[in-house]
Amino acid sequence: MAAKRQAQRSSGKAAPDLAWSKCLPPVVLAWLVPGAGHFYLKRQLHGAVLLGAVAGMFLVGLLLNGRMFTPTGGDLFTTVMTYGGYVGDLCNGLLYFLAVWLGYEQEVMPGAMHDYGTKFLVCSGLLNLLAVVDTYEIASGKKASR
Amino acid sequence: MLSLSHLQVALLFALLASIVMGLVGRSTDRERIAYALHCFAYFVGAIFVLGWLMWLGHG
Repeated sequence: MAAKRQAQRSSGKAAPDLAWSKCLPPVVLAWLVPGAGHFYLKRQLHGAVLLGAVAGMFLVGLLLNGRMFTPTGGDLFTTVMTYGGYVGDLCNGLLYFLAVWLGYEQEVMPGAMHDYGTKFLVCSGLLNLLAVVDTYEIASGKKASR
Repeated sequence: MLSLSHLQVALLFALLASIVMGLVGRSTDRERIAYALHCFAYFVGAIFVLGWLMWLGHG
């Protein structure tokens, strides 16, 4: 490892800066508020687009009366579905916590639109997770984003 | 509550997901736009193909 770093230094290539102090604030911000990590890294346009897309998808999920997952045990399928959905919902960060804190709750209801809403809520979290990973890659220097 | 058709919801999902995937998937703005359009086209193609398959499956 040390030899590799030495070789990189001598060849003039900069090693990606993986310092936690540099990567942690934008990553946590990116999780809490969609696009905030990109704003923190001075990529305002990208941050605004991410905020619009992820928060828009979350809002549409709420307007379609989508259901938030609560982790439930039981058979394997139920466990994987509910825990997976819960993790997806959690990835929305403050949007999720705010919705739950303000009392948003939706019963299991028949109908395709409610089901779409549930998927929108989970997928907005997963898209935010992609944004978090992108933030980490930019902050650590692994991605030369322009 | 929003009142949208299946197609409208699916297209809205495709649009928003393509924007994010395009933005995080490439390094330059030109590549991002091309990749987002690429993803959107694949989403729309999948919507129509799977929609027809389900319609044919139902008989």
